Amino acid sequence: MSDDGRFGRLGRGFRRDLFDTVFRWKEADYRLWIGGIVVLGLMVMRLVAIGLDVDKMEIYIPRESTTGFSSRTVRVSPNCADAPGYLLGTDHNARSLAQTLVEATETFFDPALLCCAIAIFLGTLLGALAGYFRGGALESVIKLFLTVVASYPRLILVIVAVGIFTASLYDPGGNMGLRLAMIAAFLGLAYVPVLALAIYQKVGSFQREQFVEAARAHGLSHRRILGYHILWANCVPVIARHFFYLFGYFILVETSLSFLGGTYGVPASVPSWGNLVTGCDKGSLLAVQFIAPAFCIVTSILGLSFLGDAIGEHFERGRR
Amino acid sequence: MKTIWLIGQKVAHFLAVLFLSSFLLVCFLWVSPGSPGRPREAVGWDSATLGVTEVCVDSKRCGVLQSMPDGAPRAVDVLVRGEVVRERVEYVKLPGPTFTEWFSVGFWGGLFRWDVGETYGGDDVLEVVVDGSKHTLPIVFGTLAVAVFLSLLLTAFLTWLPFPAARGTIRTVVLVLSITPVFILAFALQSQGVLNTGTVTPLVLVACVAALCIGDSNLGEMLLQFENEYRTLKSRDYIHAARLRGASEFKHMLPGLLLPISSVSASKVAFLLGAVVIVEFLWGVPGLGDASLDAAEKGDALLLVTLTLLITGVVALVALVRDVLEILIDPRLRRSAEDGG
Repeated sequence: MSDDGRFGRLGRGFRRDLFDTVFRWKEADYRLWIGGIVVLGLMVMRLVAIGLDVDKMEIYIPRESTTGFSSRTVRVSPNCADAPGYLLGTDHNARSLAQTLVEATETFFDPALLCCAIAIFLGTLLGALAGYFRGGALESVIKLFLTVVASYPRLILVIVAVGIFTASLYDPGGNMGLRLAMIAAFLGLAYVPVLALAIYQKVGSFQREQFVEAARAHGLSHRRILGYHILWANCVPVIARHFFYLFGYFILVETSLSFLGGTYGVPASVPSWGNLVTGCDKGSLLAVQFIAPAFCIVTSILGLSFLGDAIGEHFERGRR
Repeated sequence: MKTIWLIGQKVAHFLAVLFLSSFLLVCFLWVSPGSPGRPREAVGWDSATLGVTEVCVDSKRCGVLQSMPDGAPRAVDVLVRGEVVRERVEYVKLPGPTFTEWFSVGFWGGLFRWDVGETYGGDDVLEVVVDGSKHTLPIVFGTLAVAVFLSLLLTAFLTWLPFPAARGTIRTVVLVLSITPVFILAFALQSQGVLNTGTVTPLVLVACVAALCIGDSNLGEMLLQFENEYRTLKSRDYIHAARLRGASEFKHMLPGLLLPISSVSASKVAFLLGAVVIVEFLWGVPGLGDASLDAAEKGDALLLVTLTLLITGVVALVALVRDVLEILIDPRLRRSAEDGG
C-alpha cells in the first residue's frame, strides 16, 4: 500500500523515513543528532532534579583564613565562589551551581509541556476546522480570532496576564506554581495562531488529494476524514515541529521573565537559568557563573530549534 | 476601483482587529482578581462605610468591614461568614462600574475625548503612553531597519560567495549567534560598560538596537528567509526571460523582493515590541515596555489596556501596510478580486 493510503505517513512510509534519516550514518542529518542529544540531556536533567531539593541543598561555608603576623581574619564570600569540591563553583545563594543548573530544569520543564499541550490542542483544532470547512463563516470567525491573538506581542501578553493576576494576590512571591502555570497557559494561547496557520495550510492542501476524495466517496464522516486521514496520518510531523519550537520558546520566555525578577518569573531563591545568568554579577563574561547558565539556555534553544527544523525538512510531506 | 475596494476591506479588518484586541483583553481583565470592576483599596477606602462596605481578605474571602484601618498594613476587623477576623485586607469591594460603562464610555469614549483617566500613580494615562512610545517606537523601527539592511547585505554576500563551504559556515555562525536570547546579549553588553545611568544616552540606544537586532533569532531568521526568497525568485521564468531579453534583472526582482521584506518585517514587529521590554528594563529606558512592567506590577488595568491597545495597534498597522503593499505590488491579488476569487 502506498504512503498515501491507509497507513499514511505514520505507517510504513514514516517508519522508513525515520530509519533512513536517523540510522543511516552517512546520510544522517547532524541537526537530528544534536537535537536528540539536547532533548535527552534535558530529560535526564529533569529526572535527576526529582531527587534534588533546593531547600536541602548544601550551603558552602568557606574556611576563614588568617594572614600575616597580625592574624587578620579574611572572610571569603560563599556566594559565586570557585569553591573546592563544588563542580562549577557556587551560585548567588552559595549552593552548588551544577546542582542548581540541574534543579532549574524543574522550573520550566513541566510548564513547557503544559504550554505545548494547550497550543497543540487549540491550534490543531482551530486550524483543522478552518482549513477543512473553507469558505464559510466558521473559517472567517476563526481567522479573525487568530489575527486578533497574533496581534498581541507574546511577551507583553504573558507579562500583562501574569502581572494582573499576581498583583492582586496577597503574596506574589509565594504563588510560583500558579504563576508558571499562567505563563504556560498564556504563552500556549499566544502560540496558537502560529500552529493553527500551519495546520490550516496543511489541511487546505490536502482537500483536493485523491485519498481525501476517495474517503469522501466511501462515505466516511468528516470527523473520520479530518481526524484520522488528514490530521493523524499527515499532520503529526507539523505538530512535532511546532512542539519543539514552542518548547524552546518557552525556555526563552521563562528565563527572560526570571531575568526580569521575581514579580514576573520565579523568585531569586528558586533556581532558574534566567536568574542564574545575572545572579553573580561579577562583571566578567568569562566567569563560569555567567557562562554555564547562558550555555544551557543557548544550547537548549538551539538543539530544540534544530530538531524542529530537521523534523520539518525530513518528515513533512512537500517540504523535502 | 478594485484596488480601493481591496484596501477598504483591509482597513475595515484593521479596525476590527484593533477593537477586538482591546475587547478580549478587557474581558480577561474583568474576570481576573484585579478586575477594574472591583475597585481596589486605592479607590475606595475613603468612601467605605462600617458595617456596610464589603472588603476582601483575598480573592475568595470577603466580608463586611467592622473597623477602619489605621495605617499600613491594612489590618482590619472583617466579618467573614458571621465571624469577626482581623486580617490584612487586599481590597475594598465597592460597587464598581459595569463592563459596558468601563469599556465603552470610560475607555473608548475617553480615547475619543483624549481623557482616559489617571494611572495609580496619578499621572495621565495617555501622556504616559505617548511619552513611552516616543522612546520605544524609534528603538523598534530602528532595529527593524538595521536588521533588514544587515540581512540583505548578508544575503547579497552569501549569494555572491563562490565557496559553498564558506557559505554554510557563515550561515551557521550567524544562526548560532542569533539564537542567543536578547537578555543574555543585553546583560553581556551591560557588563562591558554600557551601564544604566538613569538617562537614555546614544550609547544605550545603540546597545538596545544591537541586542534586539541580533538576539532572539531575529537576524538569523531574516537571513534564511531572504536567502530562500532570493534563490526562488532568481529561478523564476520571468526573471530568466528578462535576463535573456537583456533587461535589468534587479528592476524585475525588486517588486518580488519587496513582498518578503514587508511580510517578514511585519511579523518581526510583534516580536520586537515584546523583546524591547527586556532592554528597557535593563537600561532604564522609560518606554512602553518599562511602563507595561510597572503597570502589570501594580495591577493598573486602565494603563495596561491603553498600552496594549497602542502596541497591538502598531502591530496591526504594520500588517495593514504590508497588505496594502501586497495589493499594490502583486497584480494577481487585484486580478483574483476582479474574478471574484
